[in-house]
Amino acid sequence: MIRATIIARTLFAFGVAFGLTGGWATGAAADEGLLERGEHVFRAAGCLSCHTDFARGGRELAGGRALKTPFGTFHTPNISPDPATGIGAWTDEDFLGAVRHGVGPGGAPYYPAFPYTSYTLMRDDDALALKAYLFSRPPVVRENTPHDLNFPFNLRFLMLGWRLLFFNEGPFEPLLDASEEINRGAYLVDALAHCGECHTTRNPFGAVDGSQYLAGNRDGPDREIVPNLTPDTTGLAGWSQADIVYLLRTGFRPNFDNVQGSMAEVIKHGLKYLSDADLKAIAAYLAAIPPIENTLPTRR
Amino acid sequence: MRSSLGWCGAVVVAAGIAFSTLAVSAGGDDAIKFRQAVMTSIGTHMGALGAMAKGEVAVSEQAKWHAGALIKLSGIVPQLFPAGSGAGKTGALSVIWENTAKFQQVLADFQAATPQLMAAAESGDAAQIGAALGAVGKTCGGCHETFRKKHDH
Repeated sequence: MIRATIIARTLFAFGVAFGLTGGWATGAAADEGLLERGEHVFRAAGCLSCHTDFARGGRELAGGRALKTPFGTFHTPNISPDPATGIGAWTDEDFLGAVRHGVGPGGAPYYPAFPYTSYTLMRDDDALALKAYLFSRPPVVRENTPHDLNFPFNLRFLMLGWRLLFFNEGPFEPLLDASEEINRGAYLVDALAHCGECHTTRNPFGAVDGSQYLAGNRDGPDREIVPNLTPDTTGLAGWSQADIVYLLRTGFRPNFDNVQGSMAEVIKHGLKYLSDADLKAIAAYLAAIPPIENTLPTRR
Repeated sequence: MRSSLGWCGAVVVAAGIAFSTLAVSAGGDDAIKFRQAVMTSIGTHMGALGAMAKGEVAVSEQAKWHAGALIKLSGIVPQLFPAGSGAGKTGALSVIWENTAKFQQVLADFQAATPQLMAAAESGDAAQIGAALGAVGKTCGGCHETFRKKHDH
């Protein structure tokens, strides 16, 4: 009886609110929700640290960050909403094409240095919320710097062949025998934070080697040694889930040494903004993936 | 007679130079090991406070001991970088000895931040300890980002 009353009251209140705000299509409440969601995707997906040249005092989202890889040096493009030099003139279809399918508005295929190979798993509504958020940021006029790649990787048309061999389009397939928390973690890790793009070795063609999923990379972006995240003794087996959450929130390892380099940026500009529930979901997922033995050299 | 004495003298002098060179490089390695030991102890004291901040152990009077240790340790870090201790198995980058003004600044930042740990320890509040650790952690990063090798080739 009480339950029915509560349900009825809730439905009534919802109906009133719905009516007052003019339904789904409206105004402030819907926009705020969209931007908030977009900001969440923005932080989890790590757009800021790649698309801003912090090292040389570049403006936010204006691109120009150099990314050294075994294939040459990439220079990230301007994704601020400037219509001429950024993405301000892009439609929703353009944005989905880029982020989920790895193709620019003109049809040119992107290099997988832009992790569309992971973002393809993103839901359309998350991607469009991200677009709304990016479009709410200040537009910056800055022409893109061309990439400086080794032969034959500088032949962009070869990406078409690469895609045939190595690109598996999304969407994200929920893991049927896993909890909601682990699925949330899997979506955050694979579709948004794209951890595997750095934390998994690549084959000589630059494609991620799925058999070594999250087991680390001896020669990662910026030529860094990237750690093994699997629950193996050579990976994170010695870490509690709370240790993982703490690292993602603060950049501190369990021994209170601090993370440096690219991961420090990922945390500082992205992951530290995620909720406790999100970080716990990531930790739960990492505890559930297959352990893979892979010992990586330490700095000293 | 004199010429053989001269010869001996030259050998002794040469040996002396050789030994003193050895002494300098041994000093370099010892300075590196010592520095790493102190850095590890900083991490250990941070870890003890971290355990309290994370709720793994109850906040206790011991927090003040660790905070006090970190205040003292932050004061001696400037002495851990003698000339010659940049060569060998160390993460210290040579820019430490080239950009001394900036390096002095990050050392000062660390020293300025550690008293927050004592205030937090005295409050007995885990969240405040956590916040203070974060503030000190920023100064760890402030030095390491510029002056310590990344985990790379």
